[in-house]
Amino acid sequence: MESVLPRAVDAEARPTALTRADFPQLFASSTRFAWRVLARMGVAQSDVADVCQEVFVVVYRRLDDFDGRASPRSWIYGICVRVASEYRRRRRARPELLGGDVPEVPIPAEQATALDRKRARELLQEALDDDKRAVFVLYEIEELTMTEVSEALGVPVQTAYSRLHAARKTVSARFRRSGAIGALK
Amino acid sequence: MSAFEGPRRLKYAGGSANDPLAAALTDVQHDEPSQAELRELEHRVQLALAMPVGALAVKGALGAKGALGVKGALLAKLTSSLIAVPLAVGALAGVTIASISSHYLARAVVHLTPSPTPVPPAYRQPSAPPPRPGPLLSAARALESVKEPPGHAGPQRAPAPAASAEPQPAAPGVEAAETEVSLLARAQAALANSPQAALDLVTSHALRFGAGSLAQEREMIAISALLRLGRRGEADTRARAFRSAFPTSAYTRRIDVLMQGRDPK
Repeated sequence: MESVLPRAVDAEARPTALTRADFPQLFASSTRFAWRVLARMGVAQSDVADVCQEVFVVVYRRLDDFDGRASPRSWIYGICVRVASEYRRRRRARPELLGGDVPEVPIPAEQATALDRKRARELLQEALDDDKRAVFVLYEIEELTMTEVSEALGVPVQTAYSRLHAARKTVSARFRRSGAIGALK
Repeated sequence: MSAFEGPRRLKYAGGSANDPLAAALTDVQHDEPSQAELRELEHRVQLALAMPVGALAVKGALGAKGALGVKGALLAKLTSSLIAVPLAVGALAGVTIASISSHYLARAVVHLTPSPTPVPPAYRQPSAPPPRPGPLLSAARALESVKEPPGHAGPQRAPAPAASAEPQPAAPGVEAAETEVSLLARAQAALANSPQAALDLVTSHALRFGAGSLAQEREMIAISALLRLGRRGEADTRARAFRSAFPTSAYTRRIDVLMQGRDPK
């Protein structure tokens, strides 16, 4: 998976400021990863569209705050992580709105893979707290570098490392214990 | 690799194709939005920011928005969002622009190299508050007015892209579409705190514009508002009418989710 693209291209440009004129481009190039990150940060499938909309409203409102210390991509990753955390807090505060995501009827065989996937995601999410999950998702799944992870989360690289190590330990232990993952291929 | 790249990732570390953890990490990579969901998101963000239809199309597609109408503008936007990634990585000449390659590229971009300089650790933003419509809307209106100054009768347009070579009429629909947009943007903004006000606004939209180019968006807001008001029966009737009027709409999945009994916030 390494070196799929030539390095040092426009996508990694480090502008020092963003304006509203940049928004359409930012939007077009970040919707997919924003969507993925939200889904993995514990946003229910039925809410991803809502929360993703919220992310881009925040991005738009905060264009002026962008200062070039992170790449635009890391910056947007960071906004996704924070908006997802807000969402989880809201959901915890209103538990009566939980549920409705997991089908209660038996799942036909052809959907089993999707269900396994869902279970794996839930396992990753249950096992970790917000801070560790953010590092884990951005590094292990989204494959940001540790520098980008620290930029996105606004923490020192060393902190990101120690969260990653703790998260790896928890996740590995959890996966060893869980028989559910045996069904995954 | 620089010291800040990080340790070998778990999904590549196992060496065994059967390693369940590696498999799970690779597998969850497939959580991407469908094209219909992407289109819907574009629409919703435009509405939430009170942007004119087509505003989120990448430069070049803008000129076509008036004459092409909503569907055409959506198509143009969709195309441009598919093209956007390959453009960003201009070195990749010859890559077929198809959803599969854009999907792949979107992921591949993640591998690009980091800046070699470590960043100051103090960078931290306050957590984002939920969006408030007021200042946002006025900011967005300011944006709109930059694009098309009020009082200017003829809409300004960018040079039409090569794809739409047909001569375009003076596009009388543009002004109407923007009124529609601002009306619906107000309705959408009202949804969270005052669903009744949202419902009133969409009703006035229906009276003024009928089957205007944003009728689907109007119905989405109406259904959400009715659900928030606890008027499930009416919401259901409206949802059914929507499905029969727009059976292929990108919004039908969203309606299914709304109607599945989950209280929308």
